[in-house]
Amino acid sequence: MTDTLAGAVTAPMVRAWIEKSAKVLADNRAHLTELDSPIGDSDHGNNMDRGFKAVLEKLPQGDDIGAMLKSVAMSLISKVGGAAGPLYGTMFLDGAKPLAGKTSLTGEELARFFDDAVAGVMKRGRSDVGMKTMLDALAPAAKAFREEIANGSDMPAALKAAAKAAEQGMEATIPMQAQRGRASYLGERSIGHQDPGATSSYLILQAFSDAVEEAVQ
Amino acid sequence: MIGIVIVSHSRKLAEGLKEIADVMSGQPVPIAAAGGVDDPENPLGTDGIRVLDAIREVLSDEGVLVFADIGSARLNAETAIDLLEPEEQEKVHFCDAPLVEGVLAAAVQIGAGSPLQAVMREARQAASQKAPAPEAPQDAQSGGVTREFTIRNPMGLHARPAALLVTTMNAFTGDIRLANLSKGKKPVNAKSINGIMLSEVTADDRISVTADPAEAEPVFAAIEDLIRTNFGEEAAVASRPAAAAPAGAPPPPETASPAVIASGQLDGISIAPGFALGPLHHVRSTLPEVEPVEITDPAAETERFTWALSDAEAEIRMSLAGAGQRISAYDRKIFDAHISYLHDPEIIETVTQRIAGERICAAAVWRDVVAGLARTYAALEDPLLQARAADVIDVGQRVLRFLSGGETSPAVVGEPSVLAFEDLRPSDVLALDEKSVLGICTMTGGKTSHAGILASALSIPVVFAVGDALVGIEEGEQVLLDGTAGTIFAAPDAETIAAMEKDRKAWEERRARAEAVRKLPARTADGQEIRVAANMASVEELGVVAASGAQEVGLLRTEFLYMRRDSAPGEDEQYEVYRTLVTGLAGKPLTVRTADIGGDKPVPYMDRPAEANPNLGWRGLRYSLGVPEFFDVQLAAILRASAHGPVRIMFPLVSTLDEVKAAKERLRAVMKELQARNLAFDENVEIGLMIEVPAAAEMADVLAPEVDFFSIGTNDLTQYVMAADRANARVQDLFDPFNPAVLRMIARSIKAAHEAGIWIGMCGAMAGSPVAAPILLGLGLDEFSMTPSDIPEFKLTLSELCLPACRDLAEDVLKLSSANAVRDRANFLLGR
Ligand SMILES: Nc1ncnc2c1ncn2[C@@H]1O[C@H](COP(=O)(O)OP(=O)(O)O)[C@@H](O)[C@H]1O
Ligand SMILES: [Mg+2]
Repeated sequence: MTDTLAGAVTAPMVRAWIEKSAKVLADNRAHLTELDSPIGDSDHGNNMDRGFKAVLEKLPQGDDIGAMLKSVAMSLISKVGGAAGPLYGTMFLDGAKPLAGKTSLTGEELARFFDDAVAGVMKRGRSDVGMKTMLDALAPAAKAFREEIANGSDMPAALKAAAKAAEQGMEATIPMQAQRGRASYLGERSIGHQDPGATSSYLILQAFSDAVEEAVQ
Repeated sequence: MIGIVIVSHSRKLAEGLKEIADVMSGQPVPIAAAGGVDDPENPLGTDGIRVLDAIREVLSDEGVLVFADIGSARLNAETAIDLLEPEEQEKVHFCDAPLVEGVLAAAVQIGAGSPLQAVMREARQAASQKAPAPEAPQDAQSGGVTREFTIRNPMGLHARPAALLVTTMNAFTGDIRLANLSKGKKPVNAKSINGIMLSEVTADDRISVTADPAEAEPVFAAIEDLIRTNFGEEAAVASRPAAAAPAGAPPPPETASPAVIASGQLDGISIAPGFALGPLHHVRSTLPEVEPVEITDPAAETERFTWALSDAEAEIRMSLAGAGQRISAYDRKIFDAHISYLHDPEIIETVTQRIAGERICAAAVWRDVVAGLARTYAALEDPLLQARAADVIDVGQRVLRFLSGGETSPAVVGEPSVLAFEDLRPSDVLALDEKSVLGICTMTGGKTSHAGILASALSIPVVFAVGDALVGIEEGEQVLLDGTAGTIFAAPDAETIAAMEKDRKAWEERRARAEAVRKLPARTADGQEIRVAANMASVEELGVVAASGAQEVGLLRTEFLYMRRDSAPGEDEQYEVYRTLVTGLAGKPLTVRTADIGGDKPVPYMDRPAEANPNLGWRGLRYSLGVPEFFDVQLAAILRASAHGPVRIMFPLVSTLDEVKAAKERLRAVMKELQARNLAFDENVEIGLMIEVPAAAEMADVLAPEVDFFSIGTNDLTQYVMAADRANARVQDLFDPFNPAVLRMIARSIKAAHEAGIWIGMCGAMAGSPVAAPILLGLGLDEFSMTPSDIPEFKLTLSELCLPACRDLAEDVLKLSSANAVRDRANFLLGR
């Protein structure tokens, strides 16, 4: 029984993930804003909180995972306001494209979701790993997840590894010099600060891991 | 029209920028502001869905340009574009330009009718500090004709005057360069708003203008006209009494010389065509004097004032509702601006405080405040803001009427009259009853003012800027207003009246009848149908052509694709253009003429050798065959468009059979290549050639079996048959297609075409001439392709002709010995 449950991500799990993300981002609103103040414009916390509040309001009923994630994308594009809006929006939109009508996802499908999501952010932001952005958390997470699935890990374990990789990626942004976004305007002065976008990415992935973990228990 | 979307973090910035652009563009350009996010506490940011909606709001086939401010606005703009449907997406372009300068430059350029590429280029260059380098090398200008002018209006070529110049220059097809000689500036493109602005032409500067010899005369005449009329609005500024003339400024221009007044005729600018005869009625357009009356109850007076404001607003809203379809959404915005004055907290505050403090009546305080405000506006340097003075006075008067109780609307008169205004206000236009007002004339004002735009849509004649001499015409005096010519006669004599009456009747009747047949099939009185087609030379004309009554496009000149750019357009870019046209024509055939670029039209990247005799040089099909990599790209693009609807390919300047065969050879090769690339096209696409070289007309029987159709280009054919340069004024009497020599060439070509079983059209200027119509019809021409605006009159002329009479006429004129004799004979048949 645990096997089937642990081998797939179901629609209720995705819903729980989205709801948990909203909660975590609300809880970390001040923290994110604080991270955005030395190397940005002190709005990332407010942006993400406002965006995910709108996400919850608009989230459709039912078990269509593709539709849910697409709705998340549209709300973020409309309501985040800053760069994170189109970036996370494109991430969910591109990731969700192959998932229309699906009510549960296999490891392979979810790995593909992460890959598409990362590719979407890269395309939208014209950015890559190492530029001190959310990608530094997202890309290692996608890679770790795929490896875990390939090695036969179950879903909770793979997601946990992904969140761990995101956390390390987030921390790795501290010594980096920003090459994209507002922080890049600061040049060398951006060194020594953790990137707010990478932080919110980590929080969202950790929320995913926690939500699935709770569901299978 | 091309649309603009403004994406900004700030809603206020987006809307404010839209407001300036609306006013500056001259023409109503569709602009949508998409700024800010829906969060009252943190309103700065961008909302991708709002951008998406904004794009759709202004989207048309002509395309949309999206501008954004900083970083993430661009990300959201691009996200919104990605969210569009693919067929919408291809029309929407992100324009990487500085927001404010870019949007303003684009709006002006769109208003002036420039194509999308030019608009984008102008927008991108908008903030560059130095004047853009001249696009053509200096020596390429040697073929142009140059004349010098002195700019006299006090503002020089800034803002609206610059926009007006660009709009006027855009009506010409050739390259036009302007250089500020006084400031030693390099020549710039006279169709570029940035170029003009950066030339910093101020009052009394000398400029030189260089134009294509073929159109130099009309270009210069148009510039002289602009200078004479002080670029439309400047006259309004110079003679507005409220505006104190800055020290040292030149005196207001004389708007009418004494000699002109003596003859009773005043010249102005034509705003709306038509004729009117009737008594002149002067309409007062300044604020009336109001006696300051002491009051005892400031609170009650303030309340009266508040009521007057809301009554004025209600009145504006009512007349807007009453005007219904007569005014567009854009025009409505003008009145929205009026309403916003009624809500201006600063004005209200000032008035309220003064009522309480000085204890005088609201009417006097209001008049004082409004007059002061109007003066401030009128004294400003920026002509855009100056124009606001009229709006302020307009609103001010309206409120005064409510405060002082009952004075009637200014434009109401007893007997039908011609109304004379100092300066027409937007609300005057709205309040007009077109049945009791015969016509309108003003002392000042420009085509592109709010009132000018509104008045141009009226069905009565309107003439602006006839000058201060208008006050000299007495109240009630009989005047004759000619809206078409832009003149007014005071006390016309019986003869002038009779002439005008005749003109007017004929003009009105004819126009109505021509409009009535515009959309009907082109048919003679005895039922012979022919094909009426339109000529086109840019994508922007699609709307005009679609509404013109043409059943096909007989000539698409493709030179526009190559002009004013750094490199030749690639296959995909050309394909997009042709496909847009084919789709837009919705089944009406599109005849695409391959490029006819010669030494007379410099295209820098083509790197052509200078020619002593460009008209007899390496142009048209000759060039295309000589540069196959250039030719193949165009052929491939046209062919690919043929997958989307009926397309014909036509070769220009054919002289020999070998050329036709070589061109067809290339076409076959390109078809093979497209097949190999798996790209769709119509294998049976019709192929034709232009008859414009005498050799082709003479050998038409030999050429005909090779193609599906001919099209006669009368301009070049005439110039070559008569050996008369079309740009040389001294030989213009020879350059006349009615010469029997030219007509015989035409007759021969038509006969050869029909003997070979193919159809033949004409796409030169002659095709739209009503006088030529019976001759060409009699000769058997199958298709007449003309400027869209010629179509109604052409169809009407046709409907009055009978084929046998035309055949007789055609046979006769070929035997005549001069162009004038031919014309007389044709006019006789037409009863003119
Ligand atoms: N071009 C980009 N590619 C990837 N991520 C980016 C890019 N630009 C910004 N970001 C991410 O967005 C975060 C900032 O988001 P936010 O504060 O909401 O936007 P803004 O910078 O507009 O205020 C940054 O910390 C960074 O992670
Ligand atoms: Mg920020």
